[in-house]
Amino acid sequence: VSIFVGERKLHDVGPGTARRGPQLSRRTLEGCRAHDPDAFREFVIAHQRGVHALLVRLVGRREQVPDLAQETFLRAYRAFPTFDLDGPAKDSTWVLTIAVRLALNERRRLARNPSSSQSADVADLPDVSTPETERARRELGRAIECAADELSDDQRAVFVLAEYHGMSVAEIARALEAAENTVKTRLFRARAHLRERLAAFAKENIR
Amino acid sequence: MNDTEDIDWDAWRVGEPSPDFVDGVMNAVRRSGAIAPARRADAADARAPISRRRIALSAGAAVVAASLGGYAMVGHLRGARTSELVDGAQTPKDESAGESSRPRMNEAGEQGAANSAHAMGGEGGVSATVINRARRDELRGRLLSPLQARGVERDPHTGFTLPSRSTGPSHNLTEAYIAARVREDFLPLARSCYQNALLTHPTLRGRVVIDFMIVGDAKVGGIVDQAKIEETSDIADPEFATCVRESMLSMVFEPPDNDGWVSVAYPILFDPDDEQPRR
Repeated sequence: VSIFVGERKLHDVGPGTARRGPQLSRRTLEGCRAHDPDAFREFVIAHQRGVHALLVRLVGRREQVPDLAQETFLRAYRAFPTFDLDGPAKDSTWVLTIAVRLALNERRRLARNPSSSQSADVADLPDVSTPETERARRELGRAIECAADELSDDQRAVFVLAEYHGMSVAEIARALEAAENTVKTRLFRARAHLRERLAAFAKENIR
Repeated sequence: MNDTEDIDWDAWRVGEPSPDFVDGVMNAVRRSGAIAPARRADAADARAPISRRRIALSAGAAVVAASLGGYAMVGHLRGARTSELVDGAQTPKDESAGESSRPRMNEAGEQGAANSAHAMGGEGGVSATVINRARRDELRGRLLSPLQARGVERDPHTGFTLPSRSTGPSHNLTEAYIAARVREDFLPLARSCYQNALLTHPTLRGRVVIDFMIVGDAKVGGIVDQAKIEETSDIADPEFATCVRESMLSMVFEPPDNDGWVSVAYPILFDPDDEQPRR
């Protein structure tokens, strides 16, 4: 999925349902509310990739990611009886809200103890022999990751939730317990930073 | 760059979750004691006649005695220390006869609680102080929801995050009170975590320091908001650490006053051979 980098309203860059995670049936969600293990397993299967991706993009490729992901689902399990099936939050948005708060807490902890865990260097990822286009794509991925790493925690969270998980400003505002205008401001600044950092790269590596 | 230049954002790849991630989550849920079958069993036990409950408690104590032969725990609160012998000699080892199997993970909470009640000297203490993990998870869930609804935020502080509206550390929860709650409600669960860890690592032993933070308010009560095992702890078994942490997160306390918090460091010595506390 290609998304334009530029200033525009969030819904214009919303990547659509493909980024919003799988939709679970109401029956499954009711089972989760009743703490039915089979229903909850289905819930975990459906959302594990989204939660994992969010955590990696927010805290980096750290050894804590699996633990944070597990903690996310444990908290979801406990809180499911309070989840309103008819409320404004979709189950995907709801579980991502839990994950993003855990991730932000973890980033604050890491900021205080930077030596407690080292993020895997992107250069250490498996280097599979690939065609030139794939190599360029990997370099682009590194550039995005490095640029995103320069964002503040709040800006990074807003950007990732918007661009990679298709959440609206209102949904992000609820997830981060921030005003919608604050979310818009953070998203504006995040994009401005990425636009600046990726400009040279994009001119040389446009697909 | 302008609006016509596009970026393939998906080039930022993040990999996939571990293939056994789902099983890991479900096992963690079971270990937390929050699965429905355990809850039903608890409810049935609560309705049982007193004589039946006494038998169940004795059996639970016997399982612990047979499995461990007793071990010691030592605790202290941040800023002050207390020490205590919580297990070991208080467990009636002569009741181990006839017990042939060790407890399963999802039964640990009940059996640990039973052992604690036995050590306290009777079932009167059971109803008053020993709540199993599943029940406390439910209680914690009820307390946590109003806290989240009122917008509790957290900020960094000594490894934990703090409620944004808090006025600072509270002092109404005395060390003696916290030690009593930990001794009566948490240590039985920690004991069961240790039992299960010994099944796969029979030589596992050492000092574990558990940090936890109590938050809450007068309306909703006090909960353990965050908990972790300090990195300096001797036991690094991940399943054991998760079990202990989840057990601590299921604890409930009286609320800290003035919407504040209480930070506690509680070291525990796990040793299947020693009956005396060690530090």
